[in-house]
Amino acid sequence: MSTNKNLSRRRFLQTSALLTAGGVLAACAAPAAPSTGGEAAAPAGELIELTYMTPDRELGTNVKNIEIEGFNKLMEETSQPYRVVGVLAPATDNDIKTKLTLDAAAGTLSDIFSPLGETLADFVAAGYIADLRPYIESWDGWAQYPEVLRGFSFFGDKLVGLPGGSTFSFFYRKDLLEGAGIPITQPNTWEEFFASCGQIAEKTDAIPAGIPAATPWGGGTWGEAFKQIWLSFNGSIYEDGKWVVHSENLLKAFQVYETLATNGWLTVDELLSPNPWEPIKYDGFPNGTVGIVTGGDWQWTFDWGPEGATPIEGLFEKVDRWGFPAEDGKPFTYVDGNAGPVVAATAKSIEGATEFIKYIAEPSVMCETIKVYLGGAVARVDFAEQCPEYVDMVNGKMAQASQFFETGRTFNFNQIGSGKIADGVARATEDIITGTQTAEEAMEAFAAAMTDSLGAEMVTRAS
Amino acid sequence: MTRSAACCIAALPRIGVIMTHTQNRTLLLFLVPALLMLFVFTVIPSLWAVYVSFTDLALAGPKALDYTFVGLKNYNKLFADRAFHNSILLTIQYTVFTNIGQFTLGLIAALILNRRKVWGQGFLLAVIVLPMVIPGITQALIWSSMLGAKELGTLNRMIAVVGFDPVIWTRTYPMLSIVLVNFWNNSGFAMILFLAGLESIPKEVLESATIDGANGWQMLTRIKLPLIRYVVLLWLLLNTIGCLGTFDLVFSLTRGGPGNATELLGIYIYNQGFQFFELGYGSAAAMVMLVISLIFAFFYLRLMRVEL
Amino acid sequence: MTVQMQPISSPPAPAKSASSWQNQWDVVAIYLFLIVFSIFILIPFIWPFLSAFTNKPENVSSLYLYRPTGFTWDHFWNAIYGRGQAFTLLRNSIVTVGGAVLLALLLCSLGGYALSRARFRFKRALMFGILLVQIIPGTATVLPFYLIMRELHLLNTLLGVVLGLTASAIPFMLWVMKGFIDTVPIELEEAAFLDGATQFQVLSRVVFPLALPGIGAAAILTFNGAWATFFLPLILLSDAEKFLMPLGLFRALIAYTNLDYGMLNAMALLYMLPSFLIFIFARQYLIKGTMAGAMAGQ
Repeated sequence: MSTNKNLSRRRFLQTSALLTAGGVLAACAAPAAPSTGGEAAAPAGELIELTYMTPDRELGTNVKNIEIEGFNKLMEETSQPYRVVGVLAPATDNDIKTKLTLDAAAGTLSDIFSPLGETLADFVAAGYIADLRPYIESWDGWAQYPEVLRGFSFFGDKLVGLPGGSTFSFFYRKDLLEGAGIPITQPNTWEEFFASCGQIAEKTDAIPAGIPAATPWGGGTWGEAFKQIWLSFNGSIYEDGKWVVHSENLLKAFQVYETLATNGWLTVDELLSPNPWEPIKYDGFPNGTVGIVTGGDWQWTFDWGPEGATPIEGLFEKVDRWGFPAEDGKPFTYVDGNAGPVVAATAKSIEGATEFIKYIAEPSVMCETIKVYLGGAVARVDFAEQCPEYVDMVNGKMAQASQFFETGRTFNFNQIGSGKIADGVARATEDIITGTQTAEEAMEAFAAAMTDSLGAEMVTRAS
Repeated sequence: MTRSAACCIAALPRIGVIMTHTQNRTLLLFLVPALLMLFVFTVIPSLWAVYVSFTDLALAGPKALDYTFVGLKNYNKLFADRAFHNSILLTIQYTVFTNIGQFTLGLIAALILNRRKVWGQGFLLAVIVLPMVIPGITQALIWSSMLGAKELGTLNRMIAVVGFDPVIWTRTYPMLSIVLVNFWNNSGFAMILFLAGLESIPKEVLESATIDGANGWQMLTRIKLPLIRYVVLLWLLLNTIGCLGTFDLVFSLTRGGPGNATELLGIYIYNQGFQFFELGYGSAAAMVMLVISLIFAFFYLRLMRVEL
Repeated sequence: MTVQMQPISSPPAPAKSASSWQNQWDVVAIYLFLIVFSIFILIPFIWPFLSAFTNKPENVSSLYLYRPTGFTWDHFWNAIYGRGQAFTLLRNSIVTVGGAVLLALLLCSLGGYALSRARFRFKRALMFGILLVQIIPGTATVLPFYLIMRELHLLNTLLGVVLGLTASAIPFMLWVMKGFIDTVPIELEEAAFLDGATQFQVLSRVVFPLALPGIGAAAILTFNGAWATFFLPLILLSDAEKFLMPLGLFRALIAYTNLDYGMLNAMALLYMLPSFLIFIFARQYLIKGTMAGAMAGQ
């Protein structure tokens, strides 16, 4: 009775047509694609192709293209077998972290890539990153890197890249303060800073402090505010492989937030809404309704510069920097170092990759690329000499920042577990600024949470 | 014809057709390609995830180099983890509220569109689908704009018109905020499925009911709802599973919310795996989520039992 | 004897049981609902449209509503010809998602038919299992998935994306297909078989046309779901020319937190178009009433 076993000609043709259509569509979508990474090193005499991964951001990509072109040309001229090919990572930090972590675990990392500071220590501990010491320490350029930054490239004995850095400080509306007759001298201690806040609150309509706190700001709470505040107090933060999660200085750091919040000097509402930097840095600060924010060098260009998100006219007259006040009365600009691009342990040629890293750090090369994109101060001490244009860029602010590398204060917070600490700090500050907990209670909770999640071997108490 | 086949067929509200085994086998061949793809890309990774949940594998850090089989240690830790319990509770809350809201809205919209007599139907269809076609990141940004702080956020501007003070939505009403957003952006899913279901009801059934004197309400509860039961339960099942695992939207809006107020399971698992690199622990949490989903699914499937 | 297919849909019958008074109330309620609901849905869209089509004053945040200083096509220009490269992204998205939906439709029409008509012992368990394999969240299964893709040499390929999308679409589609094919009375198939129709003819002339609303719904929903997928292309692709739209949206990121919302929203609006168009196109399959008895077989 059933006739389904007859494969009628029509049926065959029509099914094939459907399959073909689907297949063609899919095939159109699939250019021949070699898989990246993981191939064995080419024998000598052949070209070794190295992949260089950067985020999908226009300016960065433009810089990358200049670097790659220049390098490949140089390699040809000097008859070296290395060639570099560009690869894109997603644009946002969170997604970059996902992709890098996945690549690392699967062994398909690009040969050269820019790591995320908070994950680098863990990556090194997992054996994902190559040691470049033999190729760098013998290089004469190495001497040009300031002492203060070198530590950021070292993990134990491993040297993983050429460090870069940026400087962090308070940025404040000079015109707002001057207009209200508030002195603009650098506050040397936190008491002086609070006094300034008090005056701003009294004599102007602005909220004094728009400082990152709480969880909606993501990594910024830790990276752009809390680290620096913690550092401003005397006491240890991380020693012998353990985070100090309960101490006098940590308590004082939490108390800074407590003071600001209970006096009504902090932009609490804004900090608790999604994308808190929008109302604070891109609306409040440009409009003069927020007096002081924190941040780094990039803000001159990308936040408030003429091409920035919310340009401020007369930026250099209206805005200036204050260092972070310190317990010992010596305010400081915080120097945040990073290891620069690093090389994967699975790279086809570690030597070749290091050549590339050295190349892109050459003053002559950087002098070109900073004309396209200058996100922060340049690390090399001899750079201002070798590239005179640098001195005037961004009204001299970048060159000024470079000098902070010598005079600023720093600390390598990028240790194993920093991700969890950052998370814990965000939660603790949130509890404080909402009044849910006092600074002491918040620190107790923080210490307990960190002991839980990091394990007792990675934390310690100092008080 | 085997006894079990006879029972199955007898239970079905139609005249049974004798299916020989030969025919069955050919039919099953139809199923192979789909199942094969599923196996390779979904089943194998899932099985691996099950295995990992019994280890302390990490994606980075020292544990990435040599991980060990730790048996039930992850599960014990989960059992004692209050943040995890909180996560489960929140996720169930979120799922229930979302389901109720989307069901109501989707059903009403579907009923309206089913009538074919009202002006503006096309408009309604277009409008309800609109939120579904925008990418997730844009949804998150749109709602960040809506729920923004003080007078800047659109929602605050709106309530200011009627004289209310600005509210920090994600702070004061976190669960409400995310339920609202999900309600906005996914009711279309329910509507489309319900509409397809309503459209499948044979005209004669509706006509004879009308002739028998059924009014609107009876039509709805006695005729239409039972007949689209399969679709409704299917939707419930899918939506529940989706809500249990939701991540993107909530993460972009609140990152787990003030404190842990909106740390749904999906976010908890992501944090474990990618923020803290602890894949083993995250996988264990995912397994628990699987079990919870199984419970819900089992419940729904029992209600759908007849249809299978 | 030829099979006389009755069109299932017929011109709408007037509601005989409702009095005209009750009818009026119904209509009023419906209109009220339409208005309130439309407002609710549309208000959040004000911002993206404002942001994509206008210039904003200087020192205000572009994440919130603002008083525009003028109409502009600049954002769209950036999106398409500037760094957005929207057309490449759109093309990639359409090809991969379209391909995945077609492939899934093919596999699941056949599979759904099989699930509906075949009898075997573990059917219930299989149906159950098909749906449940999807529950484990992507973040836990992404690593083995990635490794499998690597072994198949599908990393950084659009084909890999297509296959991945298809695999995620299958469970849902199988269920919907099966469900709607179930509603096709088996007597019709019986009769067609008796008349000498081949399996293929039974499928194409009897079963699928009647299950069309279900197929339409499944196609639309799958398309929408896949269209918005972000995670899969994120982990698989690393070539600029292959990126899909959701990934490319973030080209609007200039530095750290500085997002060019104008361009972002322009790209997002462009992104909405195909999905919207597909929906309009497939709408006729969804609402049978708009198809004038096209299912007569002869």
